[in-house]
Amino acid sequence: MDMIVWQPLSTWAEKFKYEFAASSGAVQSLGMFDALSGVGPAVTRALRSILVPPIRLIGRAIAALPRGPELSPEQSRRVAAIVRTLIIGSIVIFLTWALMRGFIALVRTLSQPWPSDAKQIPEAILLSTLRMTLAYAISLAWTVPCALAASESPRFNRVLSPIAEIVGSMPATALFPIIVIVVIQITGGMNLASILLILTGMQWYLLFNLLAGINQVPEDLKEAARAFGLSRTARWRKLILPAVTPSLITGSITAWGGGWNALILSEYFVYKNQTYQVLGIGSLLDAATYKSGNGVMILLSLLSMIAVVLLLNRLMWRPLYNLATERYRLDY
Amino acid sequence: MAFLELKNISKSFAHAKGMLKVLEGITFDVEEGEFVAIVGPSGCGKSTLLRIINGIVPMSSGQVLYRGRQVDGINLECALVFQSFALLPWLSVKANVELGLEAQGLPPAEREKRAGIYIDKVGLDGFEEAYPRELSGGMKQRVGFARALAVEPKVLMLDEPFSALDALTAITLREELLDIWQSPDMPVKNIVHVTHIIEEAIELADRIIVMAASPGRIVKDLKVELPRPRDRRAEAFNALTDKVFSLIEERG
Repeated sequence: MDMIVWQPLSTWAEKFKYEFAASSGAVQSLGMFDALSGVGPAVTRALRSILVPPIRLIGRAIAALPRGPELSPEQSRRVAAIVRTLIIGSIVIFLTWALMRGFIALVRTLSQPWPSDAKQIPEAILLSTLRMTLAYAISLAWTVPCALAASESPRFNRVLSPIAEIVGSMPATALFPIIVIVVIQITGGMNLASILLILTGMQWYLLFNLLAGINQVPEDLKEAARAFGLSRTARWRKLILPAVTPSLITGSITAWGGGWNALILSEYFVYKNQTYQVLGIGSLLDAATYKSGNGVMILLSLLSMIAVVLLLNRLMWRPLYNLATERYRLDY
Repeated sequence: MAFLELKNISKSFAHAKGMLKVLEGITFDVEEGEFVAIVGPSGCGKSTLLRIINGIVPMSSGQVLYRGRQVDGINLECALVFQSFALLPWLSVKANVELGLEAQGLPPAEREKRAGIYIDKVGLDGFEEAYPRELSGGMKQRVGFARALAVEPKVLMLDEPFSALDALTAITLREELLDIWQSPDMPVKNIVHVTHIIEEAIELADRIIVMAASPGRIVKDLKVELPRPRDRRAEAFNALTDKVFSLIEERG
């Protein structure tokens, strides 16, 4: 997938890079695309010759349909208005009905007696958020230096980007069993295994966004930084880090999304009929789903997780994102 | 010994279809105090040549001597002014002007004072705390000039600094540039000015180096003997414009 679809796409996307400076060769990803670039027009032509005739036929068929009675502009406007009202009205009625049903089901489920596990939810949420924060810190700790190194060396960037694309597009959940077994055997700690699993769901989003941010730093600004003799750290402080801040925030938001996703699978793990688990919102949800089948518990865990995600987005990421895009926008 | 000596400079870029020769056999000297304009069609490598002189782009072969010595890496005695202004959008005017001063080892208070002096000199007094996106194109380029002048360079290097500005703003800025260059308290000795606008080169420079493209090379090196201030409508001015124009056109 990565070799034949994403790499050519990313090479192609580089054509749209916004660039001012007169010097230095543009970054180019290596890959099959170089060898295949001559094939592009031929493929386009072939696709066109396959796709265009049937579409043209359908168009002709529609044009040849018998026409109804001629309507005056006034009449056709009225007909259009009626049709529109009917469509929108039925959508509204259906949605209202569905919402009502859902709400009634929700209230009915929650009005059942709550299981004793529910008392664990606040602690579980806290522990899960803590694990997420740790995994996020680890992600930051290696992706930011990597991105900075990529900004220093176009060669490292050229090597890192395709590798990251390949490793990152592997489904992380496929690695879960291996990680859990290895980590538990070595350290015996499910907590560590859980954090590592969350990490696999987080880090690539950060890395990709940071690398994309690095590639968007305009050449003329990099030249100015060098021409005025900025030291490496001054260059990072004044140019690279501010320039990638919006990408860092976007990457963080997606990374946390991926992290919550991985979290649900990471705190509860069954291997050879033995259950490994740590207290967390993910394991509460899994236990409720796979073991007890308690609908109230499933709902409560889900709702509290959604609440935390929404709160974090509203109170932290949204303001940070607004600040970053306003302050560190690359226009001038 | 000339102030700047360029000896047989050539530059090639790796390209999809092999090596692309951008510059070939560039040789000329710049005497102390000279205002040199490099003129040529787009793609003749004149901006690359400018960057080779100050060291941010490595040359493939040849030599650049500054006061008789070869400079390793970037020559911090040269300060660059960009066509695109190249201001950091998240830094205030003052912080942008201070950009090159940290490398000079000036303490913060000194940097601030120096930045203030040059912000005044380019007529941006009162805009110290403004951000580039709040300024007009002409004001942005004034910041670009202040940033370059603040490092008190021996050579001011201009890469099409007026090409992104409207005509009226460009006229004013050109006049101010001449005033600044001619004022006695300026440490700037030399200006190397890259442009594709022939009239601009003739109006400003003591000497014009005419380049042709593919590969970029020098086709003519001529002195501008017209007295200053130069009148763009004067006959001698137009004659020289025609001459340079036909030099470029012949090789185009």
